[in-house]
Amino acid sequence: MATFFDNPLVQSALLPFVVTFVLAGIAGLVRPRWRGLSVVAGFYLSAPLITGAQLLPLTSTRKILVLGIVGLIVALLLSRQLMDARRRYFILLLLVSAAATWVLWPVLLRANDLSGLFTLAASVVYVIWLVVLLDKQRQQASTQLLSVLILAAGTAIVATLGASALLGQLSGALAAASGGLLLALLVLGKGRDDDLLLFPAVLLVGLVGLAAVVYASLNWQSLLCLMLIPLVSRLPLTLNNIWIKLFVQLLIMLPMVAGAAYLAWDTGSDAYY
Amino acid sequence: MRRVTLLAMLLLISGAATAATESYTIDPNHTYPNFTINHLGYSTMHGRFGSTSGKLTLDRSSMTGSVDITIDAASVDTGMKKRDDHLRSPDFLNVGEFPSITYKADKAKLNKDGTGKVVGKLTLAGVSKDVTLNVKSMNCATHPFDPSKQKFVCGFDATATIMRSDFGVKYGLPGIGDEMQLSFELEAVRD
Repeated sequence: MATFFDNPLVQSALLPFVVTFVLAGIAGLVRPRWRGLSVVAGFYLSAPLITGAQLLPLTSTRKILVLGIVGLIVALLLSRQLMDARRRYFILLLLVSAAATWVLWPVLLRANDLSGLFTLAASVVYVIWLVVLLDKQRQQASTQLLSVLILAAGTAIVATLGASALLGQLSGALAAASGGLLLALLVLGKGRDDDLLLFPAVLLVGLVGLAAVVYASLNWQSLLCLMLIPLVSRLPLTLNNIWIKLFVQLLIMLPMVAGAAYLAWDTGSDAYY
Repeated sequence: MRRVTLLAMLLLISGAATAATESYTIDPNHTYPNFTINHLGYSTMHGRFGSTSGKLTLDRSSMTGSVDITIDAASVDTGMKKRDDHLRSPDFLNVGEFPSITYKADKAKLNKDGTGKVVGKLTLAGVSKDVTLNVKSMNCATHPFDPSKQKFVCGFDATATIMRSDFGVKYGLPGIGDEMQLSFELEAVRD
């Protein structure tokens, strides 16, 4: 049994997908608004198998996992507050800035010029871009979920090509969990398009991407390609059938992932050789 | 008068003891820590670290001393850039967060023939564990190529075995071996 759970495909694909699908199905019957939490549950069931259960030494990877929990708490709190978008995004900006600073802290400590600050600024811009654009999609649950799925899958591919299978596996688990929820929404869902509380998943995938750049050897250009993914929902697609709409959006997103993967492969040093 | 003589003798003895403990600086051009690890059960892969610094103290009469070595983790070299980049990533050495590998032993004691065991603290990927170095040889002499004959060098050959999982480096287990053979061939120049 231990060997079964040692398999990277089980850890970062099968387990998070199945767990999320089942939990989303149960949540859909009991409390539909909580379906989004199944992504977090599916991911955090897999994460200790991927990274190990211990918390120390507190590496950037483990910090990211801690920050995902913080993101979940913030998402739950924000979902209960009636506040205007500007204030909501200001709070998210503060959280993302603090999260990026904490993850990059060892690099910032060693930087003896402005490069550390530039890296931090670029990191915050990357993560907040994803957070805000995907947050704007929260009333289109399936589109938002597809964006998170493809973004996480793309990050998994480029992180692995950027020489970290560990970060690639974590992002792969997020993609699989998002896939489990998307399938549950499409097959079992009641068609409600409400907030799925995906902020922690977006925060996690954003932080994994920047960790792959800073701590492995992924290039920034790959992340620039992935930044285009949330923009797809803004394209004027007048398709009533949700399956066809998602399929068309998927077709538009895939070249962005392919471009990111090409750039990572062309300049990077993948974890398989 | 007897008191003064006794005091003078004590000072001489303590001075001699202090002088016996010599300080050495690692010669980075002749010190390359090596490692070997099993690759998927097929073969044994070799790698080395290209940049090492540190200090030793040594009392050659009592064969005691101390070791303080710092290895630049990013200088890992297995002869293949892709693999080296992967070894530097969070999957293995995580050099972005833990740029140094250190080995420190405060109370090293060797046999008269220069062999023996040294117990020290190895810090790898942010985790510190006691590791025993098996010192196979020690040779000290004036450097033959130094025209001034002032350069005094000590060289050591030592090995150790660690389990990388003890240091939290678990990627690729069990395919990529857990047990690593470490080999320290180092030279140090007397200060």
